[in-house]
Amino acid sequence: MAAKRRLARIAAHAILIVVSLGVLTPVYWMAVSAISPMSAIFSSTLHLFPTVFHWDNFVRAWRSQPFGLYFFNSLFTNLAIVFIQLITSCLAAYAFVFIPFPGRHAFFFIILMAMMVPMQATFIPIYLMLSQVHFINTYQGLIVPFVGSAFGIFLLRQGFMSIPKEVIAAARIDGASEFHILRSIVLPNAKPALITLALLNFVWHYNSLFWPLIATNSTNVRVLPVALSYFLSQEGGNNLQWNLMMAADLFTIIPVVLIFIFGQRFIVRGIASSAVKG
Amino acid sequence: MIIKNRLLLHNALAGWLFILPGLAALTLFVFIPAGYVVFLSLLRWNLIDVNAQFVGLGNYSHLFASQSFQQALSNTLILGVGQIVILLPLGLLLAVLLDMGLRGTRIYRTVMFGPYVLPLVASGLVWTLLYNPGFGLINQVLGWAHISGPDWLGSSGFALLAVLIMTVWQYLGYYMLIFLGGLQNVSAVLKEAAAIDGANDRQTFWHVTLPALSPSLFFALIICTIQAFQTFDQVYVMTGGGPDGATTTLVYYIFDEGFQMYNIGTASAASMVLLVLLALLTWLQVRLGRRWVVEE
Amino acid sequence: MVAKRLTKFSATVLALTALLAVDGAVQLPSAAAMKKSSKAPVQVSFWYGLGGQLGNDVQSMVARFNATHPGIHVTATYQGSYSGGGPEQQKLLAAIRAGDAPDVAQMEVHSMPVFAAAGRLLPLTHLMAASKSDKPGDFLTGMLVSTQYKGVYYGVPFNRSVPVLFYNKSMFAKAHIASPPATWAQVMVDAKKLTHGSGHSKVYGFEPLVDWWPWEASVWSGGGHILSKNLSQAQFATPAATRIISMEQTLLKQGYAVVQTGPQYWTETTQAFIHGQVAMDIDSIGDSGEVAKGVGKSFQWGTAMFPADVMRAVPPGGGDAVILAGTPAAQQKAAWTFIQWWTAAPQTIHWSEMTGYVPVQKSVLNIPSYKAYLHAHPQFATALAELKFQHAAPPSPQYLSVLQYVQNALQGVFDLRQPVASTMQNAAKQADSQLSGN
Repeated sequence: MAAKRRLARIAAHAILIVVSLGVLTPVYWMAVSAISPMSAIFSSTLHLFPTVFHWDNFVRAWRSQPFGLYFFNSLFTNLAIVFIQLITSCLAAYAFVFIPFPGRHAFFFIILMAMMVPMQATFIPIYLMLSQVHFINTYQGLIVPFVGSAFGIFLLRQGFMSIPKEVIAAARIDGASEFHILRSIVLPNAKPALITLALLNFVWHYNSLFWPLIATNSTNVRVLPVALSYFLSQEGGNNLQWNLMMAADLFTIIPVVLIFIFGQRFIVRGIASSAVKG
Repeated sequence: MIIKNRLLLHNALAGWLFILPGLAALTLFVFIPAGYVVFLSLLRWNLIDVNAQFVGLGNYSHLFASQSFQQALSNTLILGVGQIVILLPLGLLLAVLLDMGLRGTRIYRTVMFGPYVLPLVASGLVWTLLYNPGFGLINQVLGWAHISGPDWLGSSGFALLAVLIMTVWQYLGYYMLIFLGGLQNVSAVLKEAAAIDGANDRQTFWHVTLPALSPSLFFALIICTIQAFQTFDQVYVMTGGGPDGATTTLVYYIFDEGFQMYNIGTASAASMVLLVLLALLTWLQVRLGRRWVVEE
Repeated sequence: MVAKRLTKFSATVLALTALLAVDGAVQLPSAAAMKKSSKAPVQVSFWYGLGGQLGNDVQSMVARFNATHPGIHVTATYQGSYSGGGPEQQKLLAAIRAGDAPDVAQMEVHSMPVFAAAGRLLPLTHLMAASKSDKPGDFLTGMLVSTQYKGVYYGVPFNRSVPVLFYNKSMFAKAHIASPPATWAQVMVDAKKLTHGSGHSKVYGFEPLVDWWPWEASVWSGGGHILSKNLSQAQFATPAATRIISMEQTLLKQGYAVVQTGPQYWTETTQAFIHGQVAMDIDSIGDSGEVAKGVGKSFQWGTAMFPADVMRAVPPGGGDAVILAGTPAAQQKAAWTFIQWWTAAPQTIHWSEMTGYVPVQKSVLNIPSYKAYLHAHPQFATALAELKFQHAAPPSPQYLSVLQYVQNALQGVFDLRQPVASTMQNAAKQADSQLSGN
């Protein structure tokens, strides 16, 4: 019996190691290619380990396009989205959990309905609406469509529900305003939910290509995913320079990798509900 | 009485005021566009013509007769089914292995979940390099085994498969996590009870663990389908929808019709198809997901 | 707030003035505008879609213009690629909708009908007729086929190119072929002779460019038509229209040709020639700068006209300059000055030598320094000789959509090696449905 168990464990480790190696290979290859000369990439004989290290590829990739600006654009617009969405979602979630206002069930149902409408199906009208107010190709155009989030309201509502209602009732009796209760009681007690929402949202928007691709055209408001998608083409001016491409890939993923390393437990925690957003 | 009325009024005002910003934003950027897209789907219009032509349901009949739309729809379904068939069993297997309490579980979990947080654009580009028929890693490794690999992204038989493999790589860890969460909920108590009843590991898995996991499985099934229907980024960077539409997904089709060909009406009609399909799926998922999340 | 309203008000007034001015009064800007121009330079906004080095070249030209024209200041902004359906066009669409379009824009030659048919471009016929240097007769023969819609000129050639055959002279010498192929029949023979080696080091005789642009040339050269005269029907699936791509596919199937697939197919096609993996390829003359830089001294190369079949015909390529309708009178005048300056001999030569695009005016052929340049860079002589064979693309506002179907079909024919006739018939059916609007 014990021998059988041991065998099962060894088999389990074997499978997990094989899958892990498979998962790591593309990332490893990204790193190897990023420090290789083009001749090594184009060579038809395989070399699994780099023989020469072209660290300056990172500098060349960074300088080949205004990546400092792209990083700023990505960080600025995505932080703005996260910040505004936290505010709108906190307010609404608070109302749904702690204020027994008339129509709350109907309103919550409406919010749930919003979760059913993917941006990919409504981007044309949103584009038309934003072009009317001159928001296309501006920071506003990247931020504004995402200031309200059904998912955010939904997730925070879950988080707020674990706060005992008695505490809130006691504060009301003491004459505290709703806003004060939200700020000084609810928010401090819902930090994990807030962090989860912030991190998931940041990662989600930082990674997304679709809307920025449509809503922006010029370099001054370009964000990283769009820049990466243009990198290899003649327009980007880096004709098929795969090593620089991979170097750019690598420095682009740094923020999400950092978030992943330090915020893993929050992300894992939010996965169940985040699934809604794909 | 007066006090009660004042409380009611206070609650009404406060509640409405608090949900106003979020609700207004959603109205402006979700509900109004959803209605607007219905309207646009009835027009023949190229964005700049002053007068759009009202064509009724003409765009829909054009759409359903169009071969490229049918191809986009079937590509999307193939991706969806492919993801379900690969990701669900594999994710479940990995979750079961990680639930065994092995040493290094944390490391395995971190490694396998990692790709999920990467931008699809970045992953798509790495995979484009891996798939290159001339100097890509995959065909070079196949060459060791004296197999001459295909032109992965350049042939109709393999391009969609190549996109599917890349997508599986990206999302595997995510499904593993969902199942791991489900497993850890059923674990201890139920399994012990089964063990006391004299069930062996295999019996416990099929008769206790798996049924208890069914909400997670169903949830994963729907999410997988939704993800497949939203596929765009990796197709955009890896294949541009080609060759000959072999990897054009529904969203890519909408993008192409709307923003490359300026057929706003056709693109909007296709958007409506996507909207209805996804709304149905999300509705199912929210109903089940809510139950599931609460259980957690 | 008040200030904002005032601006809006004055903008409306300006727009109304412009509306009144459009009708023939363009040459005589209103008194107000004249007064303004005597004080501050007239601001002209110009959108272009050339990235990288070409973008820098545009900026340096504009800087020159501004330095020599104190009354006008052109602000050139890069808006992403100018390709049909590309970022610059999308931006232009959004701007037209929002009412803040630029004064001048670079426009891909096949896209003009979409904008002209919607009435978004300023007719230039009378301006050209009155111009000293930009009369229709001043342009190289064939250059204006893309600049008119229903008999009215809406554009002036800006950055123009044609598809040509690039060939590796060193490989031709080794295969004992004296001159590049002039006809497709000759391409078939030469490609066979030029193919050698195997596996990774195999060199292919020929490399078609899997793109609708050279495809247009192949339809016409084979004696076919793309659309019917009334633009309501696709005719590109006929035997004549598919003759040349059938030949190209035969070469491919026999192993004498290779094609590039995927989103970077164009760049990869150019690069394959540069790296000596193919002996001939079809590419834009506009890429000759890149080829020259990439090849360096590693082999001798040259260009030849796009091979002829039953006739010789090529599509125009690149972009034209247009003035947007609704541009205020003063800006119109300044914009026209800018365009005339750009196309004048010294500038068009400078631009051509800098970028690899072709010069646009006849007068350049008589300038000794340019004759010397052509002698030193014979690849441009080929392109110039080819210009008079330019055919106008069908001026249908639906043409961009038709080309998308064609592009898919070409991927079917070349990447997937599907039967030519049925694949093109399929695309024609889809195009028909698009053209008839249901």
